[in-house]
Amino acid sequence: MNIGDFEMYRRLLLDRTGLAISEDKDYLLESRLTPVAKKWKYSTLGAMTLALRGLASPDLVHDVLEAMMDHETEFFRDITGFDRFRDVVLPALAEGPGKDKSVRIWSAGCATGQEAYSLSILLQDEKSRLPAGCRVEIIGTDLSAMCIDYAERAVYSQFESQHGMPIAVLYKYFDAHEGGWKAKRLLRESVSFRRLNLTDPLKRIGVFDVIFCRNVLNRMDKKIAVQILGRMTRCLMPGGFLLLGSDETLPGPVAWLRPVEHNPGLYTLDQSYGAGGGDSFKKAGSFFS
Amino acid sequence: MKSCLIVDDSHVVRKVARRIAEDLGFSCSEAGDGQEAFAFCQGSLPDVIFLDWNMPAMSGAEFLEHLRALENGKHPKVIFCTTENDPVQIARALAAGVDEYVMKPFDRDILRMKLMQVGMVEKA
Repeated sequence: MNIGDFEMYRRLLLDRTGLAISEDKDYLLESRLTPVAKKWKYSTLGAMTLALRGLASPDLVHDVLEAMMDHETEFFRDITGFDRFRDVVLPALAEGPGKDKSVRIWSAGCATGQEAYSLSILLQDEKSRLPAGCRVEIIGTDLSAMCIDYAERAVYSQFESQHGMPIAVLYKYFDAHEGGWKAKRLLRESVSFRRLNLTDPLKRIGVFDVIFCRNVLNRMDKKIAVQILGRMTRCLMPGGFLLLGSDETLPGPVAWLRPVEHNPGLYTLDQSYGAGGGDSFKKAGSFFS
Repeated sequence: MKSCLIVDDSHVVRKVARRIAEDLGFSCSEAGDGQEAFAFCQGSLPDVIFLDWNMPAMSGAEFLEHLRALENGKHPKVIFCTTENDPVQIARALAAGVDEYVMKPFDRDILRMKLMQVGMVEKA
């Protein structure tokens, strides 16, 4: 792939998703885009590239973007984050005001849903730590329509099921299904998925007690990542938590987000931030329906 | 260095599992069936055993029963590596005392994760 073509794809990905890709990944782009060119019956990748420079069909652009995005995930990936959620975040949530009503968690950049279902598993195992009758709502979002479809089906291959999940957990929470494993209803009923581009305004997403945004912002253009982080902060309840990957740091300073000592990757929103504003959003209910 | 016994009637599977286990820092031995594996364990108990379910002479389930009856037989962590993905078989394996269960095909990451879950490898 020549530099000009690579730059066109790089720009397309950045403008539409905020995701950054470095020049040394040109071989990767080529291997991912060649099947798209074949699907759309272009004789070469170059021919497809030429079409994209003109007035390309939105469906073609969608397929190209899907191919360029990284959807890597697995159950209980970066397990330290889940340990922190269980040992630090959950006890804090259980003590917070109004926690007998609901706990809302956002898995941002959820890919094929394993993080969201992992949270559902953890919360099932730890439900005695939450007040009786506390409703759990986990929302997974991703830009990729393909990933959201996959997540909603909740069926994972043998290979995918084993990555990150002890056999006792698989046996307890999944049913054998057509050569793979399907999440049981008790997991699925607390999880929902939506397509969402993090670079779009987040006004209608609602407010959350916890946001998982792991290995997402660190793949983005730094300036865009800071803007997204600022908007995400406004989706957090005062005293709410943001979890990045355990080896990630904030892409830039964000007012009111404080690191939780001895817990890399875990941040909490200052209690005095937007006091009362979060509550009124939450009482109005989820904006997803 | 922790020790590992790989029990499978397939030479190919033993070779793949051995390469992964050695790469993860284990010293490895092999056995082609449950009888051979049990004879090995009567001499020296390994820290972890990768065990196939369906084998000639003595099945994985039979071997496991004999193993656990040995003095210190509860010491080795036993990880079933098998094509059996039937929940009934999984339940049987769990009831029989396996520590973990891997469904073939597997890769290095899966084996590493299973070893981590049974405490044989540190968390990454």
